[in-house]
Formats: sequence, structure tokens, C-alpha cells
Amino acid sequence: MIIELMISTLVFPGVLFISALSFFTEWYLRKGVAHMQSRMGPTYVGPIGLLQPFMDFVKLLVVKEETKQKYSLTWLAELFGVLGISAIVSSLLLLPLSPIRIAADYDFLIYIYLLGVMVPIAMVAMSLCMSNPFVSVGASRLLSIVLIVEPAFFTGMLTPILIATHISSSAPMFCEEAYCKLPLYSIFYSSITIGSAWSNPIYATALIIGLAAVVVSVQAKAMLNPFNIPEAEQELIAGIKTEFSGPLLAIFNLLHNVELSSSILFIIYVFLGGPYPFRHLSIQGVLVLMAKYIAILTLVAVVRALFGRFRVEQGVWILVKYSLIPAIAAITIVSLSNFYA
Amino acid sequence: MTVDKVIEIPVSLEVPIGPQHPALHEPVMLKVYAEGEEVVKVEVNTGYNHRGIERLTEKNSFYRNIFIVSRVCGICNIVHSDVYVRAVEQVMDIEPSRRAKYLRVLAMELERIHSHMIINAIMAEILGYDTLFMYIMRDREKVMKAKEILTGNRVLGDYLMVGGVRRDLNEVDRERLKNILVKLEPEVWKYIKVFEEDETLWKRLRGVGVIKPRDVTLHGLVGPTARGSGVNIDARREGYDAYGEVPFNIIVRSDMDSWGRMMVRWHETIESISMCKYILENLPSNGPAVPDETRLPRKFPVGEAFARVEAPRGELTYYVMSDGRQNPYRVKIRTPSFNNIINSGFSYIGHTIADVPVILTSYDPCISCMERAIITDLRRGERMYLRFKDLSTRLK
Repeated sequence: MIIELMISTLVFPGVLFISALSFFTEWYLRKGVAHMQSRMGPTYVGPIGLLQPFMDFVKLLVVKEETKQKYSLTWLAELFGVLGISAIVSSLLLLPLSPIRIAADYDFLIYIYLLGVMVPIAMVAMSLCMSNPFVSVGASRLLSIVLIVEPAFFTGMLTPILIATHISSSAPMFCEEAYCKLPLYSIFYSSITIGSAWSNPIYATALIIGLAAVVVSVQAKAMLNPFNIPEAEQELIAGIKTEFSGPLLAIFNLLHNVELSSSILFIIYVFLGGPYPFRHLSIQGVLVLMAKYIAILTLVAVVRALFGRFRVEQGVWILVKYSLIPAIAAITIVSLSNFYA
Repeated sequence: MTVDKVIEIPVSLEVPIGPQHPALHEPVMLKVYAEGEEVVKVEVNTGYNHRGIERLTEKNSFYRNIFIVSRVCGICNIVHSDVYVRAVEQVMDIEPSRRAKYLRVLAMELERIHSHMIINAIMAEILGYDTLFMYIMRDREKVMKAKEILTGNRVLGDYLMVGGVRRDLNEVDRERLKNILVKLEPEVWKYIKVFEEDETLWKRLRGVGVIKPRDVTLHGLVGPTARGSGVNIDARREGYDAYGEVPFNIIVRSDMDSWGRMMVRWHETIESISMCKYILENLPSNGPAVPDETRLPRKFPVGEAFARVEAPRGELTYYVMSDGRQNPYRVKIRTPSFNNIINSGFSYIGHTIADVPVILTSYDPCISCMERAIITDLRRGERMYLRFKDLSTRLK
């Protein structure tokens, strides 16, 4: 049991796997956006520049000096960075991907706590450990966005959870025998059930609206255009990460990329059923899983390339309009449908 | 002890934008004081890029100065050399041929096209819209190629000389230039559409940095900055070089904001393309465009001249004074950025920190154009211009 837990947290889908996935995610985003902008993107390290993000990470970690200033608390910032990454790694144990699958009634709330509370707090605390006027403005912007984006993201994610719970309580034949005894309002349960819900037109409508809301909020969570407001380069130099350098910057970049990768992983499991209609341990399942991941990532890259940057109040309003309200609409549709069913 | 007075100091954040900052491509310092995100005061500090060019021109001959003044600004180097050469021609009473005048206008309008394209690209980049930046810069390369065909160089053309231009244009190159311009025009219209319809550009530029016509005249603002606020001023109306013969419209908009200023530049780009096409179609063949350098006068009369030109950023003026020696006695340069940037502090107030780089970029700042070092002796009431060397010696 302990060995399985160690493997799950440190190797797959833990630190090693999610770090590798985050390096791939960064490479794909950089390469994809570069192609859309008539550029080449990373080409130097590895085949078609595939190892460039990894080498960037190693370079920052090993070669580059960590610049310290009088008012900085570098060790505390690093600690918060590691805490943030740990929170994400822990949340991965809720997925069917993990050899150890943690599932309990309402474990979705644990997921909210790990990804929606711990990670933003870790990011803000990291930046505030390194005092600077640009950092202060960037942190205040990040907090303004987090206050909208996290509720929007989790409201959107609640849509498939509600659907899956209703399916199991009303018609257990939808789910397979072995899984029907599993707890409700759970990430794991929802991810193995939701695939069949897409055939219901009302649920499918709610899921599409919820998925759109969640993809918009992922864009903001990852601080990509048009929501790269907290680290707006041309306004605040680097915003929340202005004072980061060397290993600290490496940790922050890893935290940022790991958050994006895990958010997409959760979307494809909770909304799209992971490898559905195939099983995990099949070649088709793995291929479907990869295709879904690439599709969501491509969508993120296209939005990143298509927009400029909003001002903070404009960004917040856009998030309310295109993320929070659709997410609420999606769960309203599901709730009404469940109520009248 | 009783307290009868309370002094409240509002909490304000001092954000230094510059002298080194990703929003700026040249060193200038905007000291921004903000309450929350709202800007309450902006101080424009210059002096990080002073090169003492006016003094340098007094130490070199009239002819060598053509190369020096074209280094005042990298982007608009041809207009600097044109206005200087025209002032020198006034002093020496030399008239270039019509063909040379047409070629000068062609070079200056190509420069206006690429200058306007680069500032619009920079505006996109400032707004984080790097995709648009890349596309505009890719198409700007076509204009740089056109400039290379005409002058021999992509950026620093050194195209002008007293009495004409340094290179004539043959028929093959004329066709190549026409082809480039024909390909460029639809691309520019595409960008105009993007600027008119894209949500991020629209939201970030509309109503930001509003300058009323009164403020334009009060602060002496020039160029597209003035024309974007409905003030119809353009030095090309004077008809210098061949501007009197080449038809063009002066673009004036009444938007008064950053978006209006950028749109003035886009429509001027279209106008410049039309002017270039007209010049290439109607290039006169009378008179040599390239004068015989060996026959240019080596003795200079006593006299003074004032010339102005409509540079891409606005009205650029040169005053040249000769006392009969090989070197000018005085060359005084007044660049458009000098007026537009130093006097623009008022336009940032009430906007957010995010708007500061946007407003600054909408003025198309050229920092190296606007650097001056003036020492005022308060006791004697004298003003002196200093070279960097003198400045460093005094500081020691």
C-alpha cells in the first residue's frame, strides 16, 4: 500500500509524470502559438525543440543565480512553491489515472481545496515574499481574478458531477456494476460515468456550456492571453514574478505549468470521461486520452494567440460574462432537468 | 498638548516605468504615482540617451553633417537628412532637379509607411497581442525591402545629398517597388479592419488618453497626435520638395483617444502607399537626380535658413546658421517627440497603470530624438547646451 502510494505521488501520476506532462504542455503551447504567429518556436534542444522547457527548468535550477534583495524571503517563497506543487500532486490521486484511487463522498470539495485554494494562495504568497511595487500590483490583480475564476471553474466542474450523481441515483443501470457502489459527488465516480451522459441532449447542452466556461477559466488560471493581467510584461515587467530568478523562478514556472496540465487533465476526465469509450489499459484508451488532451490544449493555444490583454476590470467582467454566468447556467440546466425528471 | 491639525497623506504607489522597461524600446523614465491602479501623477524624466548631436554638427562640415543628422533617429533618418539638406540648400541657394525631389518624397513616404507600421505593431505588442505584432512586422519587411531597393539600405538610407539624391531609380527597380506596394496595400487594409473590430484593441484603446483640441494647441502637440484630436496641421501642405505636385489627403479624425491616433497612422499609411504609386507612375525624367559631387561648392555663404518637414511623428524643424566657414555656426533641431512626450504628463491622469504604456505608445515616442541637456545659469540668466564630455567633467 505504502509503495503504491509512493509510486502514485512520486512517479505516476505524481511528480515525475505531471512534471513531464507540464514540460510537454509548455512546449506544445510555445510551438503551437509560434506556428500561428509565423515563427518557429523552440527548435534547439531535443527533436523539434521538445526538450527545451525541460532544459530551461534545469538551467534555472542549476546554472542561474538566485538574486536576493534586502526585503526578500527566498526560502519561504520556495516553500510556498513546493506546497503548491504538492497540493496539485495530491489532487491527482482523485483521478482514475492513479494506481491508488482516493474516492469518498463529496471528495470534489477536497479537490476545490487543493486546486482552488492552495494553489492561488501559494502563488500570491510566493510573490509577496519578494517585495517590489510591480509585484504588489501584480498580486492584487491576481487576487482580483482568482476571486472570479476559481468559483467559475469549480461551478463549471460541478456540472458533470451533478449529472453523474443523478444518473447513479435514478438509473443505476447506466453505470457498471463494480462502480455503482462508489461514493457520490466524487471526481472518480463522475469521470467513469459521465461518458454515457453525452447521449442525453439536455445533459449534452449543459456539458457543452459548462465545458466552455471551464476552458475560459483555465485560460485565466494559467494567466494566458487575454488574461495574462497579473504578469503583464509591458505594464509590470513580470508582475507577480518580477523578483523571481534562478531556482525560485524554476519552481514558479513548474507550479504554473503543472497547474495548467492538471486542470486540463481534470477537464478531460470529469467532462469527457477520460479514455471513454475505451478503457485505460488499452491502446485505444491511451490514444483517445492523448487526443482529448491535445484538443483542449490546442483550444487554449488558439485563444492565447487570438487575443491581446484586457485591463483587470475588463478581464474580470469578461470572466463573469463568459465563464461564471455560463457555469451557473449549466448547473441550473442540470438541476432543473434533474428536478423535473 | 492638543492636536488641532491632522495631515492626511494619501497612500500612493510609486511605479517607475523606465528607464529600462519592457514597454519602452528606448530609455525614458515615467515616474507614475498611483492610488490602487489609478494614476494620480506622472513625471516624464529624460536624459538617459543624450548624444550631443547639435554640438557635434557645429564641429563638422556642412556635408558630413548630413550623415550625423540622419543618426538622430533610426526610424525617420531620411526626413532628418531631408530637412537639414533643404536648409543647407537654402543657405547655398541650390535647387535640386524635379526628379530628385520626387525621389526624396518617395523615400520619405516609404519611411512614413514603415514608421507607422512599426508603431502600430508595437501598440499591439504593448497590449499583449503578440500575434498581431508578428504579422505587422512580417509585412513591414516588405517596406524595408522597398527602401533597400531605393536607397541601398534597409534602415539608414543616407539617401540625400545637397542638390539631389545619391542613387537614381532604374526601370527594373521601379517595377519591383510597384509590385511591393500593390502587395502591401491589401495587408494594410486587413490590419485596419483588425484595429476596427478586435475586441481587445477596441477595449484597450477607445477612450484612453483623450486629448481635446484645446490641449493640443496648449501643449504644442504635433503630427498624428494632433490630427487624431481633430487639429488639421501637416507641414506637407507647404509643398516642399515635390509635395506640391503629388496629390494626397491629410487624415484628420475627431476620436481624440489612443485608438484615433493609431487609426490616423493606418490611414496615413494607405495615403502614403497611394503617393508612392503616383510617384512611381509619374516620375519626371528631366534633370539628373544625382548631382556631380565634385562640383558642389566648397565655400559657404554667410546666412541662415529654417526648414520644416512632416516627419512620421509630426513636424520636424531645423534651423541652420552659417558664418561663412566650413562648419555651420549653429544647427538647432526641434523634433516632434520633444513636444509630444515631454508635454504629455497631463494625459495619463485618471487612467490606470495598465493604460500608461498604451498612452505613451499612442504618441509614437522617439526618445533619442528628444534628448536635450540645457544648463541654465541662474545668476547670469544664461542658457548653455552641453556635450556629454563636458557634463561628465563637471560632474566629477
